[in-house]
Amino acid sequence: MQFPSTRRSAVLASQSKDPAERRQAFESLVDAYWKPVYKFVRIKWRCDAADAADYTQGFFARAIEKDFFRSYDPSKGSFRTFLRTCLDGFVANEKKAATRWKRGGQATILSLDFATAEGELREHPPSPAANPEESFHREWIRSLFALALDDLREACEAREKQSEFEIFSRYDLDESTSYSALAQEFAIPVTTVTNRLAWARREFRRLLLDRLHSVDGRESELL
Amino acid sequence: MKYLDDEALARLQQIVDLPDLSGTRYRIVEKIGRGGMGAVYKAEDTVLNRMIALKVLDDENDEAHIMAALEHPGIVPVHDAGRLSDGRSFYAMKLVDGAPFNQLHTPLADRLRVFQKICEAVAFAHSRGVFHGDLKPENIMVGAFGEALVLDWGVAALARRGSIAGTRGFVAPEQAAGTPMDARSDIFSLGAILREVLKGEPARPAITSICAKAMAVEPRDRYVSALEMTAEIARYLDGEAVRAHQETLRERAGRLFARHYMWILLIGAYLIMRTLLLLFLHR
Repeated sequence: MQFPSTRRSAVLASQSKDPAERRQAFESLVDAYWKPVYKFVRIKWRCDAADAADYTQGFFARAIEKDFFRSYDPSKGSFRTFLRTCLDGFVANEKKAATRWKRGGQATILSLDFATAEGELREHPPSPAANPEESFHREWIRSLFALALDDLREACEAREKQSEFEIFSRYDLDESTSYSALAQEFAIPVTTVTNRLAWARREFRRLLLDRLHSVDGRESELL
Repeated sequence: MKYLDDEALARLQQIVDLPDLSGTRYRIVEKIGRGGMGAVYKAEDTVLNRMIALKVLDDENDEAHIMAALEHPGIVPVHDAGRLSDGRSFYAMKLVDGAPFNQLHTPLADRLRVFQKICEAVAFAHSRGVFHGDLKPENIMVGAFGEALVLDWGVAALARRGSIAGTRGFVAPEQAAGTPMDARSDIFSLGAILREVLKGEPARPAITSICAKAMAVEPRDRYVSALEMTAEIARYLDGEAVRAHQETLRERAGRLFARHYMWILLIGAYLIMRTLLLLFLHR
Protein backbone atom coordinates (compact mmCIF):
# COMPACT_ATOMS: atom_id res chain seq x y z
CA MET A 1 0.00 0.00 0.00
CA GLN A 2 1.04 3.59 -0.57
CA PHE A 3 2.05 5.58 2.47
CA PRO A 4 -1.13 7.27 3.61
CA SER A 5 -1.23 11.01 3.31
CA THR A 6 -1.73 12.53 6.73
CA ARG A 7 -2.68 15.89 5.29
CA ARG A 8 -5.95 16.42 3.59
CA SER A 9 -5.96 18.50 0.43
CA ALA A 10 -5.68 22.05 1.70
CA VAL A 11 -7.37 23.28 -1.46
CA LEU A 12 -10.46 21.24 -0.59
CA ALA A 13 -10.23 21.98 3.11
CA SER A 14 -10.04 25.72 2.40
CA GLN A 15 -13.70 25.44 1.36
CA SER A 16 -14.75 23.60 4.50
CA LYS A 17 -17.65 24.86 6.61
CA ASP A 18 -15.56 24.38 9.73
CA PRO A 19 -13.69 27.68 10.37
CA ALA A 20 -10.83 25.93 12.20
CA GLU A 21 -10.26 23.52 9.33
CA ARG A 22 -10.51 26.37 6.84
CA ARG A 23 -7.93 28.40 8.74
CA GLN A 24 -5.53 25.46 9.00
CA ALA A 25 -5.88 24.72 5.27
CA PHE A 26 -5.29 28.31 4.43
CA GLU A 27 -2.14 28.37 6.56
CA SER A 28 -0.85 25.31 4.70
CA LEU A 29 -1.34 27.03 1.37
CA VAL A 30 0.28 30.23 2.60
CA ASP A 31 3.26 28.27 4.03
CA ALA A 32 3.92 26.66 0.65
CA TYR A 33 3.22 29.67 -1.52
CA TRP A 34 3.98 32.97 0.17
CA LYS A 35 7.67 33.08 -0.73
CA PRO A 36 7.15 32.09 -4.40
CA VAL A 37 4.35 34.69 -4.58
CA TYR A 38 6.48 37.43 -3.04
CA LYS A 39 9.48 36.70 -5.26
CA PHE A 40 7.30 36.37 -8.37
CA VAL A 41 5.78 39.81 -7.74
CA ARG A 42 9.24 41.27 -7.15
CA ILE A 43 10.66 39.77 -10.35
CA LYS A 44 7.82 39.72 -12.85
CA TRP A 45 6.02 42.87 -11.79
CA ARG A 46 9.25 44.70 -10.88
CA CYS A 47 7.80 45.91 -7.59
CA ASP A 48 9.97 47.19 -4.77
CA ALA A 49 10.18 45.14 -1.59
CA ALA A 50 7.47 47.04 0.28
CA ASP A 51 5.00 46.92 -2.62
CA ALA A 52 5.67 43.23 -3.18
CA ALA A 53 4.99 42.56 0.51
CA ASP A 54 1.72 44.52 0.27
CA TYR A 55 0.65 42.64 -2.84
CA THR A 56 1.50 39.32 -1.21
CA GLN A 57 -0.56 40.15 1.87
CA GLY A 58 -3.32 41.56 -0.28
CA PHE A 59 -3.41 38.54 -2.57
CA PHE A 60 -3.88 36.04 0.25
CA ALA A 61 -6.34 38.34 2.02
CA ARG A 62 -8.39 38.62 -1.19
CA ALA A 63 -8.15 34.86 -1.71
CA ILE A 64 -9.85 34.33 1.67
CA GLU A 65 -12.35 37.09 1.17
CA LYS A 66 -13.39 36.13 -2.37
CA ASP A 67 -12.82 32.39 -1.98
CA PHE A 68 -10.54 32.31 -5.06
CA PHE A 69 -9.61 28.69 -4.64
CA ARG A 70 -13.17 27.43 -4.98
CA SER A 71 -12.98 27.89 -8.75
CA TYR A 72 -9.90 25.64 -9.09
CA ASP A 73 -10.60 22.72 -11.44
CA PRO A 74 -7.86 20.00 -11.25
CA SER A 75 -8.77 18.70 -14.73
CA LYS A 76 -7.63 22.00 -16.23
CA GLY A 77 -4.11 22.04 -14.81
CA SER A 78 -2.04 22.20 -11.66
CA PHE A 79 -3.03 24.25 -8.63
CA ARG A 80 0.35 25.97 -8.84
CA THR A 81 -0.43 27.30 -12.33
CA PHE A 82 -3.95 28.24 -11.24
CA LEU A 83 -2.65 30.20 -8.28
CA ARG A 84 -0.06 32.00 -10.40
CA THR A 85 -2.71 32.96 -12.94
CA CYS A 86 -4.90 34.32 -10.12
CA LEU A 87 -1.91 36.24 -8.80
CA ASP A 88 -1.18 37.79 -12.19
CA GLY A 89 -4.80 38.83 -12.50
CA PHE A 90 -4.82 40.25 -8.97
CA VAL A 91 -1.65 42.34 -9.41
CA ALA A 92 -2.72 43.55 -12.87
CA ASN A 93 -6.10 44.66 -11.52
CA GLU A 94 -4.61 46.35 -8.50
CA LYS A 95 -2.10 48.23 -10.62
CA LYS A 96 -4.74 49.21 -13.16
CA ALA A 97 -7.21 50.43 -10.61
CA ALA A 98 -4.41 51.99 -8.54
CA THR A 99 -6.26 50.76 -5.50
CA ARG A 100 -3.56 48.59 -4.12
CA TRP A 101 -3.36 47.94 -0.43
CA LYS A 102 -2.10 51.14 1.05
CA ARG A 103 1.28 50.51 2.57
CA GLY A 104 0.89 50.20 6.28
CA GLY A 105 -2.69 51.32 6.01
CA GLN A 106 -4.25 48.03 6.91
CA ALA A 107 -3.80 45.42 9.55
CA THR A 108 -1.29 42.75 8.63
CA ILE A 109 -3.26 39.57 8.46
CA LEU A 110 -0.35 37.20 8.03
CA SER A 111 2.90 37.04 9.85
CA LEU A 112 5.32 36.59 6.99
CA ASP A 113 9.05 37.15 7.17
CA PHE A 114 9.49 39.33 4.10
CA ALA A 115 12.92 40.50 5.25
CA THR A 116 14.22 36.93 5.01
CA ALA A 117 12.66 36.47 1.58
CA GLU A 118 14.24 39.73 0.47
CA GLY A 119 17.61 38.61 1.82
CA GLU A 120 17.33 35.35 -0.11
CA LEU A 121 16.57 37.26 -3.30
CA ARG A 122 19.60 39.45 -2.73
CA GLU A 123 21.96 36.59 -1.95
CA HIS A 124 20.54 34.14 -4.46
CA PRO A 125 19.14 36.18 -7.35
CA PRO A 126 17.28 34.11 -9.95
CA SER A 127 19.16 33.26 -13.10
CA PRO A 128 18.69 36.01 -15.71
CA ALA A 129 17.94 33.25 -18.23
CA ALA A 130 14.96 31.93 -16.23
CA ASN A 131 11.58 33.49 -16.91
CA PRO A 132 9.38 34.54 -13.94
CA GLU A 133 7.11 31.50 -14.37
CA GLU A 134 10.09 29.12 -14.15
CA SER A 135 11.39 31.03 -11.13
CA PHE A 136 7.95 30.75 -9.49
CA HIS A 137 7.99 26.97 -10.02
CA ARG A 138 11.52 26.73 -8.67
CA GLU A 139 10.70 28.80 -5.59
CA TRP A 140 7.60 26.73 -4.95
CA ILE A 141 9.69 23.54 -5.04
CA ARG A 142 12.26 25.17 -2.76
CA SER A 143 9.51 26.12 -0.30
CA LEU A 144 8.04 22.62 -0.24
CA PHE A 145 11.42 20.96 0.32
CA ALA A 146 12.32 23.45 3.07
CA LEU A 147 8.96 22.85 4.79
CA ALA A 148 9.44 19.08 4.53
CA LEU A 149 12.89 19.50 6.05
CA ASP A 150 11.33 21.35 8.98
CA ASP A 151 8.73 18.59 9.26
CA LEU A 152 11.49 16.00 9.35
CA ARG A 153 13.33 17.85 12.07
CA GLU A 154 10.15 18.04 14.17
CA ALA A 155 9.32 14.39 13.52
CA CYS A 156 12.83 13.32 14.54
CA GLU A 157 12.69 15.39 17.70
CA ALA A 158 9.28 14.01 18.61
CA ARG A 159 10.55 10.44 18.19
CA GLU A 160 13.94 11.10 19.77
CA LYS A 161 15.71 10.39 16.51
CA GLN A 162 17.81 13.53 16.44
CA SER A 163 20.87 11.61 15.27
CA GLU A 164 18.93 10.41 12.19
CA PHE A 165 18.15 14.02 11.30
CA GLU A 166 21.72 15.08 11.99
CA ILE A 167 23.13 12.30 9.78
CA PHE A 168 20.66 13.16 6.99
CA SER A 169 21.44 16.84 7.28
CA ARG A 170 25.20 16.36 7.32
CA TYR A 171 25.39 13.73 4.60
CA ASP A 172 22.68 14.87 2.20
CA LEU A 173 22.66 18.63 2.68
CA ASP A 174 26.27 19.47 3.43
CA GLU A 175 27.75 16.62 1.39
CA SER A 176 31.14 17.22 2.93
CA THR A 177 31.38 14.07 5.00
CA SER A 178 31.52 10.32 4.60
CA TYR A 179 29.81 7.33 6.22
CA SER A 180 32.97 6.44 8.11
CA ALA A 181 33.45 10.02 9.38
CA LEU A 182 29.86 10.06 10.61
CA ALA A 183 30.29 6.61 12.18
CA GLN A 184 33.30 7.87 14.07
CA GLU A 185 31.62 11.09 15.13
CA PHE A 186 28.46 9.39 16.40
CA ALA A 187 30.38 6.36 17.73
CA ILE A 188 28.21 3.92 15.82
CA PRO A 189 28.98 1.30 13.14
CA VAL A 190 28.88 2.35 9.47
CA THR A 191 25.89 0.07 8.87
CA THR A 192 23.96 1.99 11.54
CA VAL A 193 24.84 5.24 9.78
CA THR A 194 23.49 3.91 6.46
CA ASN A 195 20.38 2.49 8.15
CA ARG A 196 19.63 5.77 9.89
CA LEU A 197 20.25 7.69 6.70
CA ALA A 198 17.93 5.36 4.77
CA TRP A 199 15.22 5.84 7.41
CA ALA A 200 15.57 9.63 7.34
CA ARG A 201 15.43 9.68 3.54
CA ARG A 202 12.26 7.57 3.50
CA GLU A 203 10.70 9.77 6.14
CA PHE A 204 11.72 12.91 4.29
CA ARG A 205 10.18 11.60 1.08
CA ARG A 206 6.95 10.74 2.90
CA LEU A 207 6.73 14.16 4.55
CA LEU A 208 7.50 15.92 1.29
CA LEU A 209 4.74 14.01 -0.52
CA ASP A 210 2.39 14.87 2.34
CA ARG A 211 3.16 18.54 1.82
CA LEU A 212 2.86 18.15 -1.95
CA HIS A 213 -0.49 16.37 -1.82
CA SER A 214 -1.83 18.89 0.67
CA VAL A 215 -1.43 21.60 -1.97
CA ASP A 216 -2.79 19.37 -4.76
CA GLY A 217 0.64 18.92 -6.35
CA ARG A 218 1.75 15.96 -8.43
CA GLU A 219 5.01 14.07 -8.04
CA SER A 220 6.07 14.88 -11.57
CA GLU A 221 6.06 18.59 -10.57
CA LEU A 222 8.84 18.03 -8.05
CA LEU A 223 11.60 17.45 -10.60
CA MET B 1 12.97 27.57 7.70
CA LYS B 2 16.42 26.91 6.25
CA TYR B 3 17.12 28.32 2.79
CA LEU B 4 18.04 25.53 0.42
CA ASP B 5 20.49 26.68 -2.21
CA ASP B 6 20.31 25.19 -5.71
CA GLU B 7 22.92 22.53 -4.98
CA ALA B 8 21.26 21.30 -1.78
CA LEU B 9 17.88 21.36 -3.51
CA ALA B 10 19.21 19.34 -6.45
CA ARG B 11 20.63 16.72 -4.05
CA LEU B 12 17.32 16.45 -2.20
CA GLN B 13 15.42 16.20 -5.48
CA GLN B 14 17.68 13.35 -6.51
CA ILE B 15 17.15 11.58 -3.17
CA VAL B 16 13.39 11.91 -3.47
CA ASP B 17 13.38 10.77 -7.08
CA LEU B 18 15.73 7.84 -6.58
CA PRO B 19 13.76 4.73 -5.65
CA ASP B 20 14.70 2.99 -2.43
CA LEU B 21 15.61 -0.52 -3.61
CA SER B 22 16.69 -1.78 -0.20
CA GLY B 23 15.19 -5.20 0.41
CA THR B 24 14.88 -5.98 -3.30
CA ARG B 25 17.12 -8.01 -5.60
CA TYR B 26 17.76 -4.97 -7.83
CA ARG B 27 20.49 -2.37 -7.95
CA ILE B 28 20.10 0.80 -9.99
CA VAL B 29 22.62 1.39 -12.75
CA GLU B 30 21.20 4.51 -14.39
CA LYS B 31 18.00 6.33 -15.19
CA ILE B 32 16.79 5.64 -18.72
CA GLY B 33 13.86 8.00 -18.91
CA ARG B 34 10.77 9.46 -17.34
CA GLY B 35 7.24 9.32 -18.63
CA GLY B 36 4.01 10.71 -17.29
CA MET B 37 3.38 7.57 -15.22
CA GLY B 38 6.80 7.00 -13.70
CA ALA B 39 10.54 6.74 -14.16
CA VAL B 40 12.39 3.88 -15.87
CA TYR B 41 15.82 2.74 -14.70
CA LYS B 42 18.37 0.33 -16.02
CA ALA B 43 18.96 -1.97 -13.07
CA GLU B 44 20.88 -5.11 -12.24
CA ASP B 45 19.03 -8.20 -11.09
CA THR B 46 21.56 -9.39 -8.51
CA VAL B 47 20.04 -12.88 -8.31
CA LEU B 48 20.07 -13.70 -12.00
CA ASN B 49 23.04 -11.45 -12.81
CA ARG B 50 21.40 -9.69 -15.70
CA MET B 51 20.30 -6.20 -16.60
CA ILE B 52 16.60 -5.38 -16.52
CA ALA B 53 14.45 -2.28 -16.94
CA LEU B 54 12.77 -1.21 -13.72
CA LYS B 55 9.80 1.11 -13.82
CA VAL B 56 8.88 2.97 -10.64
CA LEU B 57 5.33 4.25 -10.79
CA ASP B 58 4.31 7.68 -9.51
CA ASP B 59 0.81 6.46 -8.78
CA GLU B 60 -0.80 3.10 -8.29
CA ASN B 61 -1.98 1.58 -11.60
CA ASP B 62 -2.51 -1.76 -13.36
CA GLU B 63 0.27 -1.29 -15.92
CA ALA B 64 2.33 -4.31 -14.79
CA HIS B 65 -0.73 -6.59 -14.67
CA ILE B 66 -1.86 -5.45 -18.11
CA MET B 67 1.56 -6.14 -19.60
CA ALA B 68 1.91 -9.47 -17.81
CA ALA B 69 -1.42 -10.59 -19.27
CA LEU B 70 -0.26 -9.76 -22.80
CA GLU B 71 2.19 -12.53 -23.64
CA HIS B 72 3.26 -11.76 -27.17
CA PRO B 73 6.64 -11.45 -28.93
CA GLY B 74 5.84 -7.79 -29.63
CA ILE B 75 5.03 -6.82 -26.06
CA VAL B 76 7.83 -6.40 -23.55
CA PRO B 77 7.65 -9.18 -20.93
CA VAL B 78 7.25 -8.35 -17.24
CA HIS B 79 9.46 -10.39 -14.86
CA ASP B 80 8.43 -9.12 -11.46
CA ALA B 81 6.32 -6.53 -9.68
CA GLY B 82 6.12 -5.28 -6.12
CA ARG B 83 6.39 -2.40 -3.72
CA LEU B 84 9.50 -0.57 -2.62
CA SER B 85 10.15 0.32 0.98
CA ASP B 86 9.46 3.97 0.13
CA GLY B 87 5.88 2.99 -0.71
CA ARG B 88 6.09 3.23 -4.50
CA SER B 89 5.06 0.41 -6.82
CA PHE B 90 7.54 -0.95 -9.34
CA TYR B 91 7.83 -3.63 -11.94
CA ALA B 92 10.80 -5.24 -13.61
CA MET B 93 10.76 -6.01 -17.32
CA LYS B 94 13.07 -7.08 -20.08
CA LEU B 95 15.69 -4.48 -20.93
CA VAL B 96 15.49 -4.14 -24.69
CA ASP B 97 18.92 -3.74 -26.20
CA GLY B 98 18.05 -1.72 -29.26
CA ALA B 99 16.90 1.63 -30.55
CA PRO B 100 13.59 3.48 -30.58
CA PHE B 101 11.65 2.96 -33.80
CA ASN B 102 12.16 6.59 -34.88
CA GLN B 103 15.93 6.12 -34.80
CA LEU B 104 15.89 3.24 -37.24
CA HIS B 105 17.76 4.14 -40.43
CA THR B 106 17.07 1.17 -42.67
CA PRO B 107 15.39 1.02 -46.12
CA LEU B 108 11.68 1.88 -46.15
CA ALA B 109 10.61 -1.71 -46.89
CA ASP B 110 12.46 -2.95 -43.79
CA ARG B 111 10.89 -0.28 -41.61
CA LEU B 112 7.46 -1.17 -42.98
CA ARG B 113 8.06 -4.82 -42.03
CA VAL B 114 8.91 -3.69 -38.50
CA PHE B 115 5.77 -1.56 -38.56
CA GLN B 116 3.74 -4.67 -39.44
CA LYS B 117 5.09 -6.38 -36.31
CA ILE B 118 3.97 -3.38 -34.26
CA CYS B 119 0.48 -3.63 -35.78
CA GLU B 120 0.38 -7.35 -34.93
CA ALA B 121 1.32 -6.68 -31.29
CA VAL B 122 -1.32 -3.96 -31.03
CA ALA B 123 -3.91 -6.21 -32.68
CA PHE B 124 -3.11 -8.91 -30.10
CA ALA B 125 -3.64 -6.44 -27.25
CA HIS B 126 -6.93 -5.36 -28.83
CA SER B 127 -8.02 -8.99 -29.03
CA ARG B 128 -7.54 -9.09 -25.22
CA GLY B 129 -9.56 -5.93 -24.77
CA VAL B 130 -6.55 -3.68 -24.07
CA PHE B 131 -6.00 -0.39 -25.88
CA HIS B 132 -2.55 1.16 -25.61
CA GLY B 133 -3.58 4.83 -25.75
CA ASP B 134 -0.09 6.28 -26.20
CA LEU B 135 1.42 4.67 -29.28
CA LYS B 136 4.31 6.71 -30.63
CA PRO B 137 7.78 5.90 -32.02
CA GLU B 138 9.47 6.48 -28.64
CA ASN B 139 7.32 3.73 -27.12
CA ILE B 140 8.50 1.16 -29.64
CA MET B 141 11.92 -0.40 -29.31
CA VAL B 142 13.52 -2.37 -32.09
CA GLY B 143 15.85 -5.02 -30.72
CA ALA B 144 19.13 -6.34 -32.00
CA PHE B 145 17.39 -9.19 -33.87
CA GLY B 146 14.89 -6.91 -35.59
CA GLU B 147 12.15 -7.63 -33.06
CA ALA B 148 9.76 -4.76 -32.34
CA LEU B 149 8.54 -4.37 -28.76
CA VAL B 150 5.72 -2.08 -27.71
CA LEU B 151 6.45 -0.44 -24.34
CA ASP B 152 4.73 1.80 -21.83
CA TRP B 153 1.21 0.55 -21.27
CA GLY B 154 0.61 3.12 -18.53
CA VAL B 155 -2.04 4.99 -20.48
CA ALA B 156 -3.86 1.69 -21.10
CA ALA B 157 -4.02 1.33 -17.33
CA LEU B 158 -5.40 4.84 -16.94
CA ALA B 159 -7.90 4.29 -19.77
CA ARG B 160 -9.37 1.46 -17.69
CA ARG B 161 -10.09 4.01 -14.99
CA GLY B 162 -11.60 6.39 -17.50
CA SER B 163 -8.77 8.91 -17.39
CA ILE B 164 -6.72 9.15 -20.55
CA ALA B 165 -3.70 11.02 -21.79
CA GLY B 166 -1.82 10.41 -25.04
CA THR B 167 0.78 12.43 -26.90
CA ARG B 168 0.05 15.40 -29.11
CA GLY B 169 0.63 14.54 -32.76
CA PHE B 170 -0.15 10.86 -32.16
CA VAL B 171 -3.32 10.88 -30.08
CA ALA B 172 -6.66 10.40 -31.87
CA PRO B 173 -8.96 13.44 -31.85
CA GLU B 174 -11.73 11.64 -29.97
CA GLN B 175 -9.24 10.48 -27.31
CA ALA B 176 -7.85 14.00 -26.96
CA ALA B 177 -11.42 15.27 -26.61
CA GLY B 178 -11.94 12.94 -23.67
CA THR B 179 -14.45 10.51 -25.20
CA PRO B 180 -13.84 6.85 -24.37
CA MET B 181 -11.13 5.38 -26.56
CA ASP B 182 -11.29 2.08 -28.42
CA ALA B 183 -9.21 0.11 -30.92
CA ARG B 184 -9.72 2.77 -33.58
CA SER B 185 -7.98 5.37 -31.40
CA ASP B 186 -4.87 3.17 -31.51
CA ILE B 187 -5.33 2.77 -35.29
CA PHE B 188 -5.11 6.55 -35.56
CA SER B 189 -1.84 6.51 -33.59
CA LEU B 190 -0.50 3.72 -35.82
CA GLY B 191 -1.30 5.97 -38.81
CA ALA B 192 0.61 8.81 -37.15
CA ILE B 193 3.60 6.47 -36.62
CA LEU B 194 3.40 5.42 -40.28
CA ARG B 195 3.42 9.09 -41.24
CA GLU B 196 6.70 9.43 -39.30
CA VAL B 197 8.11 6.41 -41.15
CA LEU B 198 7.31 8.08 -44.48
CA LYS B 199 8.87 11.43 -43.58
CA GLY B 200 11.68 12.29 -45.98
CA GLU B 201 10.70 9.52 -48.41
CA PRO B 202 9.63 10.25 -52.02
CA ALA B 203 5.83 10.54 -52.36
CA ARG B 204 4.13 7.15 -52.68
CA PRO B 205 0.37 7.64 -53.16
CA ALA B 206 -0.62 4.09 -52.14
CA ILE B 207 1.14 4.08 -48.78
CA THR B 208 0.17 7.69 -48.14
CA SER B 209 -3.47 6.61 -48.61
CA ILE B 210 -3.03 3.87 -45.98
CA CYS B 211 -1.74 6.51 -43.61
CA ALA B 212 -4.63 8.87 -44.41
CA LYS B 213 -7.25 6.15 -43.90
CA ALA B 214 -5.76 5.18 -40.53
CA MET B 215 -5.74 8.84 -39.47
CA ALA B 216 -9.26 9.67 -40.63
CA VAL B 217 -10.91 12.17 -38.29
CA GLU B 218 -14.02 10.02 -37.98
CA PRO B 219 -13.20 6.69 -36.26
CA ARG B 220 -15.68 4.85 -38.53
CA ASP B 221 -13.61 5.86 -41.60
CA ARG B 222 -10.46 4.19 -40.24
CA TYR B 223 -9.34 0.56 -40.55
CA VAL B 224 -11.50 -1.62 -38.36
CA SER B 225 -8.47 -3.45 -36.97
CA ALA B 226 -4.71 -3.27 -36.77
CA LEU B 227 -4.59 -6.58 -38.66
CA GLU B 228 -6.49 -5.05 -41.56
CA MET B 229 -3.92 -2.27 -41.59
CA THR B 230 -1.00 -4.69 -41.61
CA ALA B 231 -2.67 -6.61 -44.48
CA GLU B 232 -2.74 -3.36 -46.45
CA ILE B 233 0.99 -2.83 -45.77
CA ALA B 234 1.59 -6.42 -46.95
CA ARG B 235 -0.29 -5.67 -50.20
CA TYR B 236 1.83 -2.60 -50.72
CA LEU B 237 5.07 -4.50 -50.08
CA ASP B 238 3.95 -7.30 -52.45
CA GLY B 239 3.13 -4.80 -55.20
CA GLU B 240 -0.59 -5.49 -55.03
CA ALA B 241 -3.33 -2.87 -55.21
CA VAL B 242 -3.98 -1.19 -51.87
CA ARG B 243 -7.66 -0.98 -50.94
CA ALA B 244 -7.39 2.46 -49.42
CA HIS B 245 -6.16 3.92 -52.70
CA GLN B 246 -7.97 4.46 -56.02
CA GLU B 247 -5.21 3.99 -58.59
CA THR B 248 -4.91 5.99 -61.80
CA LEU B 249 -4.16 4.04 -64.98
CA ARG B 250 -0.58 5.27 -64.90
CA GLU B 251 -0.09 4.23 -61.27
CA ARG B 252 -1.57 0.84 -62.05
CA ALA B 253 0.75 0.38 -65.04
CA GLY B 254 3.73 1.50 -62.95
CA ARG B 255 2.83 -0.86 -60.11
CA LEU B 256 2.28 -3.82 -62.44
CA PHE B 257 5.56 -3.09 -64.19
CA ALA B 258 7.40 -2.88 -60.86
CA ARG B 259 5.80 -6.11 -59.71
CA HIS B 260 6.33 -8.12 -62.93
CA TYR B 261 9.29 -6.35 -64.46
CA MET B 262 11.35 -9.55 -64.78
CA TRP B 263 8.62 -11.24 -66.82
CA ILE B 264 8.04 -8.09 -68.85
CA LEU B 265 11.76 -7.79 -69.60
CA LEU B 266 12.03 -11.47 -70.51
CA ILE B 267 9.01 -11.34 -72.81
CA GLY B 268 10.25 -8.06 -74.31
CA ALA B 269 13.71 -9.54 -74.93
CA TYR B 270 12.12 -12.66 -76.45
CA LEU B 271 9.94 -10.58 -78.78
CA ILE B 272 12.86 -8.41 -79.88
CA MET B 273 15.04 -11.45 -80.56
CA ARG B 274 12.22 -13.11 -82.43
CA THR B 275 11.61 -9.99 -84.53
CA LEU B 276 15.29 -9.68 -85.30
CA LEU B 277 15.41 -13.36 -86.27
CA LEU B 278 12.42 -12.97 -88.63
CA LEU B 279 13.96 -9.92 -90.21
CA PHE B 280 17.23 -11.80 -90.66
CA LEU B 281 15.53 -14.83 -92.27
CA HIS B 282 13.46 -12.73 -94.70
CA ARG B 283 16.33 -10.54 -95.76
